[in-house]
Amino acid sequence: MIRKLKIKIALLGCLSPLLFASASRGQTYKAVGEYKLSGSNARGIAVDAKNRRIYVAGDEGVAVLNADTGANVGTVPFPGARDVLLIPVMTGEEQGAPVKGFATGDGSVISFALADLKPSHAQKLPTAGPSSLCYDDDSKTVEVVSEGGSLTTIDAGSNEIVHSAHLPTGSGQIACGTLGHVYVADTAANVVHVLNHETSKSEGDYPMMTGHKPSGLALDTKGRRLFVACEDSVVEIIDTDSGFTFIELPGGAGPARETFAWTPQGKGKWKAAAFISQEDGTLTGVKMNAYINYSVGGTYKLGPGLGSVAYDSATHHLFLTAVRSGTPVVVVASY
Amino acid sequence: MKLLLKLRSAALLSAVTVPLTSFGWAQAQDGTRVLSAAELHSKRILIIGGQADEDHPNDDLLVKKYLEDQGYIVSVAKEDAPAVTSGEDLIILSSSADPRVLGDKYAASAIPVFTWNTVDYPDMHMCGPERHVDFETIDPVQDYMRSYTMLYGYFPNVVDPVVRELHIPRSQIFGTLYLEPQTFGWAKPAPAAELVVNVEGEPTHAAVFSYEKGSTMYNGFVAPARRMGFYLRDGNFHFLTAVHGQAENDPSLAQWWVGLKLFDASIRWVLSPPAEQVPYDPSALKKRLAAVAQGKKILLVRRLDTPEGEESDDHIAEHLKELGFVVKQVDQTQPDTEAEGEDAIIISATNSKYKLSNKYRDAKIPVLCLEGLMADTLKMANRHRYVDYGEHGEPKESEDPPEAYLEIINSSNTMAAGLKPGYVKYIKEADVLKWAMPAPSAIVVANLPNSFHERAIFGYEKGSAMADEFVAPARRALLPVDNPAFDDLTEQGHALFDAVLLWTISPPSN
Repeated sequence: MIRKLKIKIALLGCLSPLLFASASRGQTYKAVGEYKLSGSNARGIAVDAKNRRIYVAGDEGVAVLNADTGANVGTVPFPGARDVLLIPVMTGEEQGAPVKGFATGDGSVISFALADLKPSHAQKLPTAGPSSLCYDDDSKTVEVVSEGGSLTTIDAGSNEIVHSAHLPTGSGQIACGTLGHVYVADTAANVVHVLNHETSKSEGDYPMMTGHKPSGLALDTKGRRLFVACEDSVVEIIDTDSGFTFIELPGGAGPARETFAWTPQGKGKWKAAAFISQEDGTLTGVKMNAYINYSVGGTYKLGPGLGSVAYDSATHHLFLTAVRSGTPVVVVASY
Repeated sequence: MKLLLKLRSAALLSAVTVPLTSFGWAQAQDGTRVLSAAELHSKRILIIGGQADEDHPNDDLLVKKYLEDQGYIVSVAKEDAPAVTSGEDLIILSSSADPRVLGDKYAASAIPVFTWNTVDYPDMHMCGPERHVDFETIDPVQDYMRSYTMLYGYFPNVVDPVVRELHIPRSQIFGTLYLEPQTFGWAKPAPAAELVVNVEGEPTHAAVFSYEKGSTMYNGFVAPARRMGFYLRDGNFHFLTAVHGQAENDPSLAQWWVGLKLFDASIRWVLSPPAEQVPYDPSALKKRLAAVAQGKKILLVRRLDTPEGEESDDHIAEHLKELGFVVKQVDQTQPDTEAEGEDAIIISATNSKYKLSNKYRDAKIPVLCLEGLMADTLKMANRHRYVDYGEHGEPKESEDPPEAYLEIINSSNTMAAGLKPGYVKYIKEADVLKWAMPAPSAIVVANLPNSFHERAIFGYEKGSAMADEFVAPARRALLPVDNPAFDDLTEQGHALFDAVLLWTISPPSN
């Protein structure tokens, strides 16, 4: 009797509030274009919405394409590039055109001018291995996290390394921009490391509530929400002030990359969203309803092999790196 | 379902094991030791829950998995299953179980019960029966604003064994559940309950409370085993606060988001051994007191040459000397520096409250007060005379008749002298008996009969918050022994005098 009951409760108990809110009907994102790249892979991606360019890190360097046509504009010569970042420029309240970018490779980082795509200030990182980039707008610094276990802080204006330290890192995405913190998804350790680039210290970890293998990260620096996409189809939303996961939502499967955007469909639609691209080909839009209320705006199948994702504030398009039959491409997604 | 079964990460288990023998007699006696999760490994827990469906989701399986991750062996059963009477170390009653079906099925269970089924509290004798008066459930739809106030709980007693596990340094507010309007349950437990958390600024609105085995629950029902009520509702276990990352390094934040740790400690307290029930034996008690008394210095503060109670005070002094105390007697008007070098203070009821002033309030040594009217000057109760403290049987000062009996409500505590729950004849003839309504952190041992809120015998542990959040510098106790009453004490009354004195001068449990 008890045994039978246990089974019944086990079946019904899954209807917990922790269970994801079902995906609400909303805008349907779909692939509207595809830009072919040379080389054998495509990794990090960045968008210059003002100058209509996209930058894609790959084995041949940083490929530069026309954001509207996909036409090849040039290449930043930096073979083995892993990630790319453009330094935003503000003109008053308005976003201006960036003039400078950074790219990382295996154990090294460069800056480059967007005007001529010439690299400068090549610098060695303290540890080898793939590395990722994020920009802290408060301190105007570029943060470089190496999978080998280091955090390097670079002054975005002078390109000089401010300091670097050996710290626990991981293979997942990184995010930064609040209170000197750099968040690193450590897929193997099943945590998000909280590093502080001002003190060069680790401040602890955020454990996953139920998800496994955290991989993608995006940060809402205003709400201080960290969106953590796990490889087992769980998206955890963490209040970074306490490190507490307060919502879990369903996502796709496999390694993930994310981006966060305000009014990603223009005014009057979604307030903000984290977009998650995952290797199984799923693009998930996590929609903000309020700072304590998020839901899945939609999950969209764009084809397998998705990599990084970037948001184009001019067209509200999403650009996603992918590999199709061995050929690296950029998928253009729109609603 | 796959996701649900993965559930939230478990807290690290404490691997520190301290043998019981390393603790003092008083601590083992009072049941204040909370075992670690490692010590409780493989304890069996049965969760009684209801059926979840789309309209009534719950976290029962999350709780199950969470407890399993800590080493407990957990099973589940439905509310209408026959009561389990053996084979389990703890019964958990989830609010997902229908309280009308559950009824009093586990009220008399000899197995400890941990419950967040608020509506079932009355059937469990944990509080009175009336919703909105004796207990309440708060719902974000019906009680939107209050559902936010419930995010803030208050620890009124940091020396409570459960709260001690959280290392909270002082009485303070904390975050109960994550920052969303939440469902919640509270109750007004009986006086013998330990109030662990209260809410809404109401000292009696208990969000977390406990009954020791043998203590008197609502309506005179004696707890057959430990009981604990907790503020959770069906689906918000996963909202119990916790802190990770950089916030863990800030003591203020680490002591703020402690909901999950509080849950852990509460579970461990219910599973830990209860206080030992020492049988009533006045001569053995006297021997125990005498063993502690040898060479100890007691200051007896009295009104010397008083027209009433002189002989009674003399007999108190003689009794103390007979036990082995070194007794120094001073008049009420002498300065409280007289207490320097003493080990404890007894304040006689022959003293005039008006003349004694606030003396001995700040004494860093234990104080036993025999005069209930001084409860406010000594910070043992608030200041509203006849509301916060008062008396029975004093002509023109009380509408209550003289009384000879007390009602023992917490027989597991040392102060109860091993007397069983219920009425005990305290003085030979009905006469004046004083009472006070202490702060929630007090350990209440006896009431005046038929006077639910008039506490006759109670004590404050060192470090607990007394009235006005005054932190007890040492143990404090109140025992009503009016002017001439020491000579009128019954055998049980004398035993209570000795027992309260023994508790007062014993080392604090913290």
